[in-house]
Amino acid sequence: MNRPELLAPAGSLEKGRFALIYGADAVYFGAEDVSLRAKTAAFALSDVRELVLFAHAMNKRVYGAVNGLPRDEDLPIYQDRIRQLAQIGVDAVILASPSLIEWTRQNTALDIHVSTQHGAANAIAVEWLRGLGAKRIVLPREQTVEAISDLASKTQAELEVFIHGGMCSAVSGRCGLSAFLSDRDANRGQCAHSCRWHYDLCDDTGKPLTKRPFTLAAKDLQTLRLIPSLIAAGVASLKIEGRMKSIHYAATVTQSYRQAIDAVLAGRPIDVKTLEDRIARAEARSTHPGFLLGDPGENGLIKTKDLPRDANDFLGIVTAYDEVRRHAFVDVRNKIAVGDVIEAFRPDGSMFSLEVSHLENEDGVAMLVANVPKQIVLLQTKIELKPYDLLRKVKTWNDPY
Amino acid sequence: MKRPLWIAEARRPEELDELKRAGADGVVVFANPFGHPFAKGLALDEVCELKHRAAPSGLDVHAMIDGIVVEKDVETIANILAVFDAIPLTAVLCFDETVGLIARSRNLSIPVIYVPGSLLTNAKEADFYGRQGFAGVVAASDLSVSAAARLAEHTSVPAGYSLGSVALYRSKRKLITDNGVEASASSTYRLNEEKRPHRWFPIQEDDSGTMILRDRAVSIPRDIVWENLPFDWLFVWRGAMDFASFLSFFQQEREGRQ
Repeated sequence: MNRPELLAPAGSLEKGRFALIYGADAVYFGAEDVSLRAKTAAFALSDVRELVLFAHAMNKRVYGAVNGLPRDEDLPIYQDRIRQLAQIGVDAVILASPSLIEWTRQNTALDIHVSTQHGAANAIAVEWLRGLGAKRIVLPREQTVEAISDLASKTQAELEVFIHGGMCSAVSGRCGLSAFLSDRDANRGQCAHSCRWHYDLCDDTGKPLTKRPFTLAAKDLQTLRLIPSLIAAGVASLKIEGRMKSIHYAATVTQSYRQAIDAVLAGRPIDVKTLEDRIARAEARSTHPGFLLGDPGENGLIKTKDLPRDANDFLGIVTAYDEVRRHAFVDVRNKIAVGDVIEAFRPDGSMFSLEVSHLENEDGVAMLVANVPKQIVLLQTKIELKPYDLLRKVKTWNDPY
Repeated sequence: MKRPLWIAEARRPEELDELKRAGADGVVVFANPFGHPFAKGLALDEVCELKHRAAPSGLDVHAMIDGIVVEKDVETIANILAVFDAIPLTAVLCFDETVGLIARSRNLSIPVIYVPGSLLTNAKEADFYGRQGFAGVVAASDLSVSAAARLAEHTSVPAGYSLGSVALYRSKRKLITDNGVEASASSTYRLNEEKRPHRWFPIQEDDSGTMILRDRAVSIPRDIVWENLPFDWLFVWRGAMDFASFLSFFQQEREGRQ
């Protein structure tokens, strides 16, 4: 059976480590100044080096996105960045520009993946890109499973498909809203998410045709039920979007898809309900399977801004555990109080509840409440915690979607 | 210094004479079924008729194959290209490079010009497509005139620029229907962003999805010295304009640039 790679976002060195620990086979990051997250989630080269060392020690892979569309004056920066990534030892670069693909093939030994920005949606284009030196093509998000399967049967290139996360409502790379309305070029990493603003649809007299303004934004992609079909289609890499999202999101979503893929590979059914519930704990937006089953229609759109979900679910990260004193060292992300019953979530997917019986700061001063983000506190618990365990609230909420 | 050819979008054979009188060196038509929501495109026999009508006046005739090419479209495009090659048209324009690759794989001699919307942003990219057999490129529509001119100056490949009504957003989704309004091809729809109350963006959808256009037609700033523009073509797109408005816009741009 086809054993696809699970590819997760590394919005930072820390998020990349968590994605790898929580089951990703590979992670991708945005190279500084030259990716589609150029300003908000881009990596310094020193962090790239650390991430590569971390991933390679686990026999996993790291890909660098250099998928902005350079102007003439930007080209030397793009070429320098690609050379630097090659020297550091990333496993592949993700490129959108065919001339940069050609340049990279001629000047480095890097594997080349073609970004979804390029929009290759047929076998002729995919094979042409392979002929230019591309090893893998990231398909546009507007393909059905059937079309992906057909394409996979006609090419020797590896195909990568988005399985989860944010979706441009426009065809990737073909949206000028942000550049035109706010002078922030989405194709150079500055997208202002203008599709999430509110618009009125009017007739030619300016009379609104809808009851209320709506957004152009699409719901996030969620494809747990389609993992068996995508594996059967021969997809080489299943990609999670979300470099801008939290560690909690990266870990939870990656771990859930890890379980889904492993279930399929082991011939077991996917426990979709459990995994959907789990993902919903970390997902801030409503979800839909996108175009994979055909035109998503109105259910694929957000229309009005998502109701804000409780963002305080994620409480902290366990960085170490002192077995003698039975203290966990916790990097705090949201308020934790003595007496709280909280939940630990582990890289293997297991979860358990624990009561916070004692808290103290690093100077040994007892605390009733830890509520300073990024503060390291010692949390006493009878259950042994481990580095990379995540802590979150035990709670149920009514999903309005 | 080369003189750019003015190529105006035409939607019916009857429009040729007026476009010629307005100063067009050629016309471009969309080829059905690869038009877009504002321009359905002409059937093959209509393109043949238009070419026939253009012949006495010496107008060049280009055809545009719009949209991202998916697998099921490949044979249809190959057949259309074969017809255009036989007519022959002056050139085929394409939004997706696959059209040029199909022409090359079928050994067709019709020139193919790559017009990828926002993707073609530097001269090296233009050179690359020249080496791949494309007869020319059109610079990204979000480049300023001067940035596009720099691109054209530094590439060895014939290069053009888009004026008039340019697409801002393309989606496979049907944003009008999906928001509860029954979309009609004969109706005019406009989109207004809540914080920009006086700006109206034409929007339309068809089976291929939704297109949103800029609220203002792209024109060449008056302070740019015409003789310094190193383009081979200026393609002028009609978008949501009716023919009279488009003709007036075209004439104004063309006459201001004699």
